[in-house]
Amino acid sequence: MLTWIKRRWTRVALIGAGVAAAALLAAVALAGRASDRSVSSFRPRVRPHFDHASVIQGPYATPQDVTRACLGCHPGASAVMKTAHFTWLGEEVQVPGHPGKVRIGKKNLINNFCISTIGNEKACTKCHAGYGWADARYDFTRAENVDCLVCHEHGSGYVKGLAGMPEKGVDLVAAARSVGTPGRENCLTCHAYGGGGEAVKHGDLDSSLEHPPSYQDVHMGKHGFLCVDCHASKDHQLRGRAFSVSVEDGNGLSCTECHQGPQHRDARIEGHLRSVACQTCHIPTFAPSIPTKASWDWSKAGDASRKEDQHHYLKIKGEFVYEQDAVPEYRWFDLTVNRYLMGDRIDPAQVTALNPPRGDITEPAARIWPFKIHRAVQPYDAVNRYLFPPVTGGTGGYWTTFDWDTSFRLGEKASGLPYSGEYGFARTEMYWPLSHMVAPKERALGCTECHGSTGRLDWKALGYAGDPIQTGGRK
Amino acid sequence: MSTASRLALIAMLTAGPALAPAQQPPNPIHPLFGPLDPAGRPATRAEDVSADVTCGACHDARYIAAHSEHGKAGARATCIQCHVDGGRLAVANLEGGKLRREDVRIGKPRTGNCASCHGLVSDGTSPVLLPEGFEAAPASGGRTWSLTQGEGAVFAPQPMSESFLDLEGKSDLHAPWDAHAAKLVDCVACHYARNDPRHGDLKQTSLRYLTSDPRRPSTAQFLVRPEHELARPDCRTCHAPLAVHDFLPYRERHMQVLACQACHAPGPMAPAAEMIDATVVTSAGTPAFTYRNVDRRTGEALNAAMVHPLRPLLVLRTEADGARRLAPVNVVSRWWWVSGPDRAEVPFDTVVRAFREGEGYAPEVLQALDADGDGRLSEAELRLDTPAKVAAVAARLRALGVPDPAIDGVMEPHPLAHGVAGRERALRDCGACHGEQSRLSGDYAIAAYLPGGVPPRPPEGGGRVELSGTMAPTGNGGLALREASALPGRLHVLGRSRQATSNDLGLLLFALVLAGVTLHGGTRLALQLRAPRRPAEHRLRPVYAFGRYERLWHWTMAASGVGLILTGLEIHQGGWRWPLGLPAAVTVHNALAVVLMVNAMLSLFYHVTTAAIRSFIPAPQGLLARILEHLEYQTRGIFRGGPHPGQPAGQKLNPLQQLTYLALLNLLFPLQIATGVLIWAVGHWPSVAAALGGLSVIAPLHNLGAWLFLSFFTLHVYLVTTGRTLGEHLRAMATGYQLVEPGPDEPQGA
Repeated sequence: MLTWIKRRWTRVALIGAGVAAAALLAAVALAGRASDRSVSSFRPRVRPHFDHASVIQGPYATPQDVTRACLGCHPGASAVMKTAHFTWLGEEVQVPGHPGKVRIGKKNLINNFCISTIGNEKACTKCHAGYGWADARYDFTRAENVDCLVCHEHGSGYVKGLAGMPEKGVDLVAAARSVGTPGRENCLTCHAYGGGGEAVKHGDLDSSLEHPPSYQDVHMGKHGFLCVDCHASKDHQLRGRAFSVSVEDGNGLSCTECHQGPQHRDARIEGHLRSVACQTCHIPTFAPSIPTKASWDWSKAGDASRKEDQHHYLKIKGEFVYEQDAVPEYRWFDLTVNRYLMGDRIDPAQVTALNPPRGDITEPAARIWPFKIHRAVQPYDAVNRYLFPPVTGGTGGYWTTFDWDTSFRLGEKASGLPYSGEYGFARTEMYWPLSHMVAPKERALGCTECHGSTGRLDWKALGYAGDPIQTGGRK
Repeated sequence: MSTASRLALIAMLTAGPALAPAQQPPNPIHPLFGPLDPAGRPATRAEDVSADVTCGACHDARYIAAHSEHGKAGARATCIQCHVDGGRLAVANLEGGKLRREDVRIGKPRTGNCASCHGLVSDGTSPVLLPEGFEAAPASGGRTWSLTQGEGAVFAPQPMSESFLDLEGKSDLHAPWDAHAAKLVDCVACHYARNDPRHGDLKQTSLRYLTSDPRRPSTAQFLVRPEHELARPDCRTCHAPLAVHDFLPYRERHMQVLACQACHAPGPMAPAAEMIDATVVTSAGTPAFTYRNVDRRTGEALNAAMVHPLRPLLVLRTEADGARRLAPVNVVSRWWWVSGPDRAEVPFDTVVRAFREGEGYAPEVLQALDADGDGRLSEAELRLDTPAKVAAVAARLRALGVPDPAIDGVMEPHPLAHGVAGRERALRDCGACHGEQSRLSGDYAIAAYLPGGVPPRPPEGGGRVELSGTMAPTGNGGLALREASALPGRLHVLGRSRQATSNDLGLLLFALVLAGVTLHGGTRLALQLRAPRRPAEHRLRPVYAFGRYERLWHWTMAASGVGLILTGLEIHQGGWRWPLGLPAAVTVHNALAVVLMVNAMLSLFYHVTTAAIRSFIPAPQGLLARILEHLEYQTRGIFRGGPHPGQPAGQKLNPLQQLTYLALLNLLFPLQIATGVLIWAVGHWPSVAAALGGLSVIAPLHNLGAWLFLSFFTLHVYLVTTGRTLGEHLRAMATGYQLVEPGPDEPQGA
């Protein structure tokens, strides 16, 4: 009898303990409330990479030998040969205002920095994910010409030089042994230094992003994101588009992929999402720590009497203006742009926008976006009235002769674009929508930054009757 | 913004700290007009322009002056000062005797216009810093910094973290200086002309069925005769606080007794004055300022001194809707020299001349004030705190022709109405009011010393703020307001208010019970240790005494009771943040109370319908004898191992228990439930509780009841251990089986 009671007593005690524990848990849950959605739940986990030190033997006579070794185990990696990192060309696309479909990319477009890669391949392809691209005869079909290391090596002292070949003294074995998931410094090696110097092109990508403070970039600084966490790859095709070379946003990235649902407690702010891109408020300024090039005047180049300084004047390049912590300019943008293609006519009296964003207040898909607008004065063919790809580097190039005519003649040969023999200088603009260096929410723009008498937006220019806080937003 | 332009901005700011607001755009509608001088002739210099004559050509200047608080004595604002960009008409480039369109920068007053007299503002383009002259004595009717010195407010949209001031916790102060400024609600958005047809509240009608008066003036009529008695609405004119604040327990109650600023002006971050002593002159030629929230080293610029959040004083204030609510104020005491029989204020310039001679202080002044003889006057020396010092300065003043110089002082309470914090910085710490460290407790410093020994006069009647408490001297010659928030109207603040009698009584009772239990238990333990008693040799017979439902209601009651006591203690203490925090504790307490009440109701139904209630009702026959028998057992038998007194068949409870439960169920339960419901009802139907004397009567009763419950609970738990073995009774209530000694006629074993 007593044992029976004892058994029963044990059961009761167990049940009681269970109930008490449940109550305790409930109380703790109530007290702690639902915690915020954790950022780490959005951040893809980067797998610890297999340590290649044990399998890489070497020695390698050429960098192509390294690539062959890579492909020996990763035959699928040759898919990178189809991507713009290797081809410098996009998919076939209909460019607004131009007939038919064309493939465009760094390989065949005009920009308003170093103007064109055509004829200048040797220097430009320092940032090509391949080896040996020195001129138009380059063989894009050879898999061993892919440069795996530039994206995958880590801290091995790997540096690329002319035609994308590793500089003398690079230890190929050490580089090959260090490979892993691309880190921020891999991407920045090219994307922070495009256009012949740091922060020349992008206002929102520079070396500070290797280790950014959290007030500058909330994703990478505060939450430790890598570039490839957002720019994820499939068969080496990375997500995201750059509107300097793309005209549409296929395979593009968007804030809302992670930041889903209503984001703001205040309905008035949430209402902005119909007309304003996230970036507009959350990237209050660009180039917060490292100045970015705002304008470039080629017409002033070649003056030996001027003092040289890479932020103001270089004889080979002309005159610059750099800006730091700059207020963006705002335009409607529907994630498509018009594109100036080689040979398009220009009006030299007007500013030629090379990639003006499309969309206006009447287009529902368009949002107000922040841009870094880079303004330039660059040479053009004065009779044919088109922008022209001069040869700058190498023998006979402008940087040695300081003669535009010679460089145009070389460019004519390289590009096949006829040169009339007369050149002039024209004003051009390039639009760089800002998406990096998203500030923490505390630094996001407040009402008065745009509205009221001190606001930074030109409402009339954007198509509003007046400040929409008084006249109402678009319907 | 580039570094260069930033530097330029800084240079501009330091050069002209008059806070250059963005330019007012030209007014495209205002008719072009020619500026006139007071005689009605065309004026060619800005200083010749008469606003009354120029503007009066169209607007009814006489009407406006008669209906304007800015036109009365002491203030001398003109149309131009308030309505024209920069406060000056640009008359240099007239065309055909009239202003050019681009010079007609006329419109509603902007913050910059208001700030030229009232305090520190910024339009967001320039970082906030304290300008030169911030501590200068106000010239009569001229510029003051009352908004900032009085309230600690800065009317500016930018985050506090971006100001030039050295603020405590600056890097995390992302909230704007003023939530309204940040949302483009400017001064005149609230302080509008009362007959402005855009606002419907132009008449304070006593007719309750009228919500709006359609006979309001047309825009044209308004423009001719705008009333310049500006509106002073309060938060509730625009905001509906009950529509938000879902997280707040006792939402209605909080809104009823608290001004919005009590939480939404939690700690202004601009320097707010405690005393302004204009009886002396500092080496900078200003009155001596003491701030409530600034750590300032000697000689340090105010812009560089560390500013802490201002802790305001909560007092009753009559708000625009006529209700009196607890609102935060900053009390500034001011002293100055007066003269003559009518005690007119001596201009500060005269005081400066009395104190100074050439570059430094006058020798007579130095001689009287310079205690350590170093030729300088330190902060502690620059005080007229003895009659000799007062006499020395008074003599200098008399020599300057001031008759009968004397010192006068006044306390000015400044309600914190500007510098309002939005949701993100509003006070969310319940313990700020509901706890030992409550803002409603303690003394409030008025002055560190009394210039001339003159206590400041309390504010004159008719103000909307009522200061309570008593003035008491502090140890070092200063003055404080004792029990400054003594809560007129006997407001009961949970977690902070203590009703001494009931609390002490309850605590005493609890202490007695605890002592008795300890003594009783200790004795038992000691005896057991000295002569261990073995359990009875014979086998005991289990009897099913407590049915499933009985055990269920018992344990439900126990669990909810313990939970109520624990959460109740947390509410009582207010400031505890562990394990629940006040709002959660209140919610859990209320939920448990519902559980307990439902449980009590169901078990009452059970006991009544099954007649089980009988075991709670003592049989009257021989009750006294049985009580004595049990008392005898509890006081003697239990120690000696005597037998437990027998019980009549069918009675589970002994008579002592029965009496206890009778009291518990008939008195304590109803008391706690009734008072508890009433306390809860305060949040929803305040009038019910108010009719019974309000929380200050009900809460102490509930508190006393809680102590009684705790005492009962302690005793109950102790008595559980008084079975044959320590766990016997507990086991019985868990399993339902009680062990009884078998009767003589029963077979042993089962």
